[in-house]
Amino acid sequence: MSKCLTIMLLSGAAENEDAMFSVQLAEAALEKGHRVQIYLFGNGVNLSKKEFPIEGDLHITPMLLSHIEPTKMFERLAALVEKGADICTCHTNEHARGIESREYVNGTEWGDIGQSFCTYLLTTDVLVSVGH
Amino acid sequence: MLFFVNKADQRVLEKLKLIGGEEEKLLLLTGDAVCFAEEAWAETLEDLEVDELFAAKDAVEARKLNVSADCEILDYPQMVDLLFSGEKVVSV
Repeated sequence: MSKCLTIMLLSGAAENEDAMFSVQLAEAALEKGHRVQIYLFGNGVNLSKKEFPIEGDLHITPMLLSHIEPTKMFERLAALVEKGADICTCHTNEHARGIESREYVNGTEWGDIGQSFCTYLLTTDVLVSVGH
Repeated sequence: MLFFVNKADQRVLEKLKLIGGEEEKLLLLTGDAVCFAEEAWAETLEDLEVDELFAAKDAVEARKLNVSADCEILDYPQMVDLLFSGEKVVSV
């Protein structure tokens, strides 16, 4: 029977393994036919914004770059939405980080605690909070 | 009651007994917290009355840990099944 997993992700990119773990857990749940909701909170909201690619010399060694790039979750979050996941943010946390007006990664949405997160809580079977 | 722990902080573990009380306690370790799956922590987990112990496969392998014999290693699909097994899930 299909169930609903909600992940509250509080960590952003390159902080720790939280984002990578959450995305992989979400992928596994979707693959099994379950529903997935992800609420991006705290530094997790940084993952909801489209990257501004930088041009020219990155001044980052290829080895370090190969370490960093897989930790970027922007495209993987978009892919989760394409597979049916529902992902939204806490816009207040976005505002606190000065990124509220920036464009969202495809499929991720503006959200709030009072409605978005409460809706997730009311409709989920399991909530996992992933943060540090 | 299934506890989800991703932080290698012993103070986090100490909450298990406080929150879990007399209930059966299952412990799922991910990220840095998989260090608690090593044999050196077995007695501590026994004192905390942890009944079943699980650790995330990718985290264990990345750290090349030797986990205790009581610990079951889970991949992501298995972690999903555990989370949906009917236990109340508490993230600590």
